[in-house]
Amino acid sequence: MHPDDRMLAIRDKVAEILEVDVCEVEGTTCSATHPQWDSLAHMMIINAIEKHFTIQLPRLTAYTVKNVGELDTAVGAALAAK
Amino acid sequence: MNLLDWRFAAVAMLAVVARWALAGRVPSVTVPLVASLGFIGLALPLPALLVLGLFVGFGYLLLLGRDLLPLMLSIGLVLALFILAKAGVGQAVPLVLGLSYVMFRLVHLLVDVREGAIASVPRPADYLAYLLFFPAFLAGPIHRFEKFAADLAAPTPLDRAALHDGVTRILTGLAAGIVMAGMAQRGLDIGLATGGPLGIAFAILSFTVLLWFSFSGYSSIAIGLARLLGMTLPENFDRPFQAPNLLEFWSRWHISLSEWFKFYLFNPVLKALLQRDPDPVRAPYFAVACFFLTFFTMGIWHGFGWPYLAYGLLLGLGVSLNKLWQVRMVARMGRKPYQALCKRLPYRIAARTLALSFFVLALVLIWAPGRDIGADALDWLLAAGVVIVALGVAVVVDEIAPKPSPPLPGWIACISIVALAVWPLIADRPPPVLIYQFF
Repeated sequence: MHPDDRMLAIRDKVAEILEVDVCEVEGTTCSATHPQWDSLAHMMIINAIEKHFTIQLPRLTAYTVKNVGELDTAVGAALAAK
Repeated sequence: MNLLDWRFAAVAMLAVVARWALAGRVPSVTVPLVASLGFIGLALPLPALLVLGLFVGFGYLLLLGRDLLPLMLSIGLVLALFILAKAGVGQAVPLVLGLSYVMFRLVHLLVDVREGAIASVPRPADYLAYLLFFPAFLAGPIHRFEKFAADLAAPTPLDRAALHDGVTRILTGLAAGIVMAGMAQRGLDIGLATGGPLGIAFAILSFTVLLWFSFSGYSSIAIGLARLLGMTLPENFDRPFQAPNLLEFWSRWHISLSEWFKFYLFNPVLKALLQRDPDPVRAPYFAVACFFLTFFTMGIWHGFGWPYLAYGLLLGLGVSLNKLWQVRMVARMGRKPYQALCKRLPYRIAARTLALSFFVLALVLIWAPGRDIGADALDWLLAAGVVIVALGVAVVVDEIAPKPSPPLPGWIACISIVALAVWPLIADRPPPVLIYQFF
């Protein structure tokens, strides 16, 4: 999967869960930029991403990603490991 | 023995000197390990040492082979110790206290090694040094193995800034844990001796202040000492009394414990529920249930007996109702209008006052049972009202008054030294070791 397509898919999922326009979601999007990214939203994002890409992110990574950029990196690593 | 004991100070000083004097000459884990074993050897009687040794040993067998027998034996040991502590076998209390934090670290290792977050089973020396790391043995902070191992491999050099930071943290921690906690203890005694609604309200507020200074002081000492050893422990407090609501409060108070429960209880349970049913309409209610479970468990972790069960129920209810409120307000108003409402001053004052009042009044379950206070239900009710009003006033002042610039760390260290020098002249008893009330 092309990295741009992967990032677009991630931004799409994040936007859906945070209930914002996809154009508002960037690599730096995080709980500081969007307060609705709380612990619930975080787990919903992880769940949606794992389901969409059919991957299982490592627990530590899944729980500690801080923004969309880090999430993209984690997804890329998980896809490469598949 | 506790962190305010001269024997601890001796172990700490020797450890810091040895760490840097022997750097490069002995394996990096040697000094932290020997110091930790020395501290525990001084702190615990022989029977307790044997029990701790067995527990730690079984834990390592579990890491290696994930065999059920060591797990069952370990659980049996822990239960036996809890029962001993409940029965008032005093020597068991510091062991159980340390044991609960050892258990948190062990669970972290067991889970993360199994899932590959930690690449391999730690070497025995690293394992022991991590589990028993003496600055954090009694009361945390609960630190992660990956960071600990990285610090062992490449300790932060003890330059002038690190020395200054570490010593300042230790001095302020001592001042908080001895002087400020001592004054708050006096406040508690005066409140209880005075009696009536006002006296009890004063006691309630004094206990909270006592807990804050005692616990944050301990954490500061642990963090400062670790700094002097070239290692980093996580912060445990981040301006909790300025939290906008009860949920946020618990991400600022005893942070390492909240993080542990989030990692190993809240997140896995919530994720499992979302995987079964990803419907976004029901997801917030799963979170409410998970918050109740997590904070109930955290509450009953604090101790053994009905008061802690009640405390756990109260904690679980308070946090889950806070989350439910947020969920319903967003559903009713919409997210952006609700966020705007949360920023408005009257709402902020009300929410902060409610959160603080809940926390402070729930603590009564921790310290009041077993004391002969001589107050009836009406006294307690009126006292609660006084506490809420007092906290409301404090919140209003905090919200409205201009914030002064914080004093420079150097000044804080100097004031701490003076306070520590003067306090023994006026104190009539040793400082309270509050954390021994909790597991």
